[in-house]
Amino acid sequence: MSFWPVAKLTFKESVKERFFIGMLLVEVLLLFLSYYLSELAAGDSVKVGMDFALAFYFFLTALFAVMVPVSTLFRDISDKFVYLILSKPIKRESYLAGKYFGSLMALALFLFASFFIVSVGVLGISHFARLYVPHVIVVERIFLLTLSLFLMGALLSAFSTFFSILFTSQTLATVVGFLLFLSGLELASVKELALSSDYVSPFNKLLIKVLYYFFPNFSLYDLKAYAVHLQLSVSSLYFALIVLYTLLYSCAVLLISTWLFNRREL
Amino acid sequence: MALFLIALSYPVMEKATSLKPKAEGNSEVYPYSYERLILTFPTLKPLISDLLYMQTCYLTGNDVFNRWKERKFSRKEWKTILHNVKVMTRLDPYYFDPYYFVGSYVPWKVKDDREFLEEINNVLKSGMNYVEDWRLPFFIGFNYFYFMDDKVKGARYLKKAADMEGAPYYLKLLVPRLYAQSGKYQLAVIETAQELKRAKNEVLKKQLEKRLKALIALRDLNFALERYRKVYGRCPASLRELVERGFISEIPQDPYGGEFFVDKKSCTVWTTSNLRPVNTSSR
Repeated sequence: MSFWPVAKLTFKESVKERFFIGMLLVEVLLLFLSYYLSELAAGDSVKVGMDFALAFYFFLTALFAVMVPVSTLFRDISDKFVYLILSKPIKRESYLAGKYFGSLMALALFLFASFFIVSVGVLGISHFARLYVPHVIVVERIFLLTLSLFLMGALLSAFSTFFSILFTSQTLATVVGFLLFLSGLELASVKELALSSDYVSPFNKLLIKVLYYFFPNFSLYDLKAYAVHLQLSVSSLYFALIVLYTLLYSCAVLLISTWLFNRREL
Repeated sequence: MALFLIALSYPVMEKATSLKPKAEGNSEVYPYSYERLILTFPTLKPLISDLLYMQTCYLTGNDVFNRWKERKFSRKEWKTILHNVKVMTRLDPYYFDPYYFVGSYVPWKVKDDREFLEEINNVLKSGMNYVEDWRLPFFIGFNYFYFMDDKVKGARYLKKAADMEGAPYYLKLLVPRLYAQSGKYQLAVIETAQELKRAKNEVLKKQLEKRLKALIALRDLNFALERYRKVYGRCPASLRELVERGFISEIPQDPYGGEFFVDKKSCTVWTTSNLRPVNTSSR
């Protein structure tokens, strides 16, 4: 458990940062924006408002999951704080695990706060909407989306940790982390289109398949439609499988990161 | 000094704004591609569907509200709008509003194009797999019986609509009337009798009983007329002739207050009440 003090410290550091409060404030502002955009829609404005609010929630979570591990790791290195910690009886792998779990704890708190903000926001949108047939909002569904976002954040944080060790520039690590997230979202759609098209050559189809299995699939965590449409359902098996997928993939990425970190000169 | 400079900057800004090149308002109906949209916005499919729907509404709203500069869409533009609605429903098949738009508004603009109406119905039919709302089968049924003059198909979809939650009770009365108007008297009687068994609302029960009486009379009169035609090879001049020749014992009374008569054009029996109370409405 030698990683625990590092995790606690990382958590406290991340939460105290202006970035944390800033992201929550942006969340609130985007909810107001969602409300005004929903007002432009003829018909079910609550559905439109929820689509906007949950899309912002989704992307803010991804941004948080990319930026927190990168910024804490690079700050430790630039402030030479990492030497102080590693001079104690803490192994490098424990330090990295601590950094990762600290970031996850910060992410959990961010999501917990965001869940309340988003739920209150969409209930507010629903309250002010003038609908002939009301759009029913089930908060439990937003909670399930929050859980899936936590899993997505866990995998994305593992990758951010990996890129923080791989690259020497903080900006590069952040940008690559976010691009990986977008690629992981896109590939499911690319595969769906490419495999059903006659215009894509067999070689390109194979290439897309290889890329699809190589990159993490972030579209698995996209349960926004489930939160909006009550007709949709998510089986417990699906949820169990995405938990397992997150565990397997995150562990693999963290193991590679540890191997790299043990060999890196600080 | 700084405040003075800021104040001075306002007229400069105003002048610059007035000289800024302005883009002409573009109200072209542009066809969107599902494939391109999902590649550009992979995780935002529902959101893009919302935006497309909003844009379509604004383009169409120009036609509806600004009568002083009414915009008429060409048939090609309506086709593009229908294509975009298909893209919207593919992006988010659970989104009700595009179906509502295409079911309630577009048919009135393309009412003489059977093929187009069939395409609209196909969009609505695929929507029924995702959205459980009585209005979708209602629009399909309405298109069939009103625009396409296919009362049997119309009645079939209106029955589906009438059986769904939230449907207004009068739909249950409309279905047998359509069957009767299309000559399916026995079907109309069976349909009404079944509804009567299921009905819990007292007002609806009374209306269904009245409708059933009228439909049974219509069915029996039409059966008698058919037998007459088989025997004499012609249409009777009036219902009195059926009584005189012994095909019926008497002319029944229309519970709606109208009178049964022989429509010589189609050689069928119908009623002057049109299956509606004669003192409140007439068609």
